[in-house]
Amino acid sequence: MTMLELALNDNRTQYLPNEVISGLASWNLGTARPVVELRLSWYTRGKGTQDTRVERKVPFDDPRARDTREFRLPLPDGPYSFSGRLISLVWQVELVAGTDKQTIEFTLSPTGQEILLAGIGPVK
Amino acid sequence: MSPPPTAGPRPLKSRGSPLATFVFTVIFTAIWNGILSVFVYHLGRDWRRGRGSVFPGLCLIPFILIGIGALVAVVVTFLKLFNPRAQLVCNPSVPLGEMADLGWITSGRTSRMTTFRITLQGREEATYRRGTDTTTDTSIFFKQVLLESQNPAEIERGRIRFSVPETTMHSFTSSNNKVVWFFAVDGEIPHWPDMHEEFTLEVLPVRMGPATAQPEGR
Repeated sequence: MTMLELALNDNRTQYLPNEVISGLASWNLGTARPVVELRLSWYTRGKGTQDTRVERKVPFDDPRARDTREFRLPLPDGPYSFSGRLISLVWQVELVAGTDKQTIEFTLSPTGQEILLAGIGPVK
Repeated sequence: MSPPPTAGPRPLKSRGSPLATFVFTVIFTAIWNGILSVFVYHLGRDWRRGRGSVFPGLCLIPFILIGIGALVAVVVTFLKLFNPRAQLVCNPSVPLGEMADLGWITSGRTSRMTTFRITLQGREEATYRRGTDTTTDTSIFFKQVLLESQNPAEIERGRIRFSVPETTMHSFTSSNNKVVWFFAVDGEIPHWPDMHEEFTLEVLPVRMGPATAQPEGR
């Protein structure tokens, strides 16, 4: 059975722009697969159709069927994690092996916390 | 992800033009009322011949009201062609939390304006499909009046300093979701359609040091 595990150092889930996100990726795939990679991405959720963007893909060198690797990924300066009346933007780091994946969500902003947009009313 | 702040102020581009709005309104009104007139003609003919029934007339009422509204819109957008125009000058991109200059010049019959107002606004825009229609919902999350004046000299031209709060969201654009910052310029004109123009401002993330680390998977 396929097993993927992802852990961020110190269990952090709040990061500043341009910081480095680091942690451990472990997997047990039964058989070796040509590509096991980390993906740094964000997606939107809310009223609008979902948008997704993979900001960075980092494949692990020579992944074995069962392995544990450290990773360090520099984060960009944005977009920030935010939540408004209509839209939320969520950052995530994914460990991907074929169709299997393990995901951890985190926040990216100058305070480390999600920016809350206080709606003051709909506009025609 | 975003371009660096530009070197200096320049004229900001207005979102939409009064002429384009007028032309669109005229075309929409012509098509809507053109099609509607066929139904109204046949309904009227039936009534004149004494064969008219109430139900088709009732069904047409909402469409007729929209047609009348469109005609009113043609008049209003036509009158707006003669409104004063504003030109804003600012750095087109401003980082969160940093002060910037905003200048304005109005042209046309500015003496007709009794109140002139410039507001900085932040707006969410979410686009989604409902059936075969594509709809965009919007919500203002930030609104700050930068200037409100009744002084003719100040209405004509001026300069102020402003900043976008550091704790809010920068401009963001993806295929279906946006966070848009803009200046709304409003002028109240007695007995005439008011002036309203919007100018987009790109708000950048807080300026921070560049990343030095490289991606690393071992």
